[in-house]
Amino acid sequence: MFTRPSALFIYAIAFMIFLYGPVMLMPVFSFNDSTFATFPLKGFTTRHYASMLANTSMILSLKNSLVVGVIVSVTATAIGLPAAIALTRYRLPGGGPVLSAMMLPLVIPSIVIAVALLVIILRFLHLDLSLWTVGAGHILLCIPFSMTVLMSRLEGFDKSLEEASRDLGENAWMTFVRVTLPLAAPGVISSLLLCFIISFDEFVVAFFLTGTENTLPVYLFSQLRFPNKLPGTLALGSAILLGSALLVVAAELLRKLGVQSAKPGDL
Amino acid sequence: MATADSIISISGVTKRFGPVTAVDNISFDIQRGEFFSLLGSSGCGKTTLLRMLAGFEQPSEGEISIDREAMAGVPANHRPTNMVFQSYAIFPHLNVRENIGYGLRNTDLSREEAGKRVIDALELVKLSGYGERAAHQLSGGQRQRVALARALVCRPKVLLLDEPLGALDKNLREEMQIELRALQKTVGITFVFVTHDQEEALTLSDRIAVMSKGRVLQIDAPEALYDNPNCREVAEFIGTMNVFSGRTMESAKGAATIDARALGKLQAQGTSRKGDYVFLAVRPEKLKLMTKKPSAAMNAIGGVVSAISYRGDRHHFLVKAEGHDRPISVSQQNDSETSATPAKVGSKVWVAWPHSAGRLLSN
Repeated sequence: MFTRPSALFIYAIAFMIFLYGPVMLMPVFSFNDSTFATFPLKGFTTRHYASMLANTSMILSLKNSLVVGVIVSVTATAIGLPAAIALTRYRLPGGGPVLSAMMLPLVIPSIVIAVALLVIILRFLHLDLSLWTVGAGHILLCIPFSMTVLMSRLEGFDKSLEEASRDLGENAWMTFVRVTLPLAAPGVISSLLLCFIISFDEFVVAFFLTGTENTLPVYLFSQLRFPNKLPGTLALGSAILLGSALLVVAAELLRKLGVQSAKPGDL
Repeated sequence: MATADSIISISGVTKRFGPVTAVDNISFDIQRGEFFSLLGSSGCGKTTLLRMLAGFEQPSEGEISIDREAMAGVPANHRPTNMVFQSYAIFPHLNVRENIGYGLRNTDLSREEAGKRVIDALELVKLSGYGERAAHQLSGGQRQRVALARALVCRPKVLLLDEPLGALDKNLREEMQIELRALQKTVGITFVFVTHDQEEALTLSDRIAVMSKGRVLQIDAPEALYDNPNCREVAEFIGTMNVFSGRTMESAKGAATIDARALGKLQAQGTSRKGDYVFLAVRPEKLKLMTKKPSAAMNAIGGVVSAISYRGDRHHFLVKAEGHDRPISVSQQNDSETSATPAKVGSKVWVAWPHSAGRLLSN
């Protein structure tokens, strides 16, 4: 009776260690009083955090990533929402191929997209590489994710709710504002979070398309050549880990609150 | 076509979805203040017709006018109609009060007036004090009432109801039928009610349009539909009907004799040309079971009782007759004090009815 569940339990623990162990090593080494990320640990220090804060180019790249992430998530969601509504609400001629086309970046390797975009931007558009071009590339990557999240939410609710709104005297725009948007809100929030994380995390496209300013992943990669910079990046990584954990907890709390009041529109 | 007091006029309306014709050249009028039902099985086009009245679909051909205004190109939000949806479509992110007040935002009512109207509407549907309830806290019956109140609060000229009682259990349904009918009398608004439930249509309506395959078969008051169906399909759709087929032998003075082959000669009301293939329709409750063959003053068919079911107030018999595929349905009221069964399964009986009880149908 007991052997099977306990075997499963051990498996679950092993799985969690495998999944999170490497990530958890990061905060451990970030407090280790040594330049090298190796055992045995030498002692507790917060100096890596101090050096991280003092490293202005690292902080600048973090800021760049945050700004690009916010702009990308808002833009991709703003583009994805009308498309998702059109594809779920109306029977469009050629709707199927359009949907497939929009989902394509999901399956194309990002290195291919990055090279293609680089050629287009430099050869055809004659633009300078900058954070703007990175953002544009990220929007392209994010739209299919945004669409997937939004469409699954929009398909989940009764079409007659929108008809009821029209029937009760509201025009198409006010129906969107008063009914569709509040009901799609959890999907919109998910889309914003997902797109932000994708952009924040993205390396290949950012590496190809960035100009003089770096996003954080590109910056971190460039720093790996200097061993003495490693603890600082570990400290930054730990701080980001903490930040995203807090974000996930907050999102989950909000969602629970939303469920309790049964008002998805309040989210 | 439009009479002085018609509020809805439908003329030559056809609706096609690709190769499918959902509504096929329908024309009729609905009177002001009427409780009008569109009755038919699923796929007969009744909901499509209702949605064209609401403005969710545009007719492929023909015209609809409401209160003498042509509705072509008028979107749903500018029509003097409101709808109660089959799913009720209660806005899940709003409470009861906000749901009911939804349509009052675009009127020139002040906040106070709108608030008062919502309170009146809650009272009308017997939900006073439920204003702050969240949508998910409501039972099926309450949702239905909220949907009604939300539509009525806008004071439409026509209220459209799309099978609003379909999701309720039987007892609640019967209760709501009575309330709905009383409500319609109180508010005096024209109701257009879509249903596939013939009993419901008979109970509620002033007039019923029976629809099949996108066409209207018959429009009449419930009693007239039940007693004088104009075709076999209506006869069999409304209640239970025994239908015998045969050829007209002679027809005069509104009565006809038909040759129903193995079943013998039968007489019925109606006229038909000699030699025409016709149907004789007669209701189960008009039939009597007899142990002996009655006189020639009545139609009679001999047969064997194949099943009996007891329905409390009545007994229902199925009688198998030679040369007739379907068993004949006979319903007998249990009005004697003993409620004794007059026949047993397997016993030989005569099914008899007066000539005047049968109706002659040509198709």
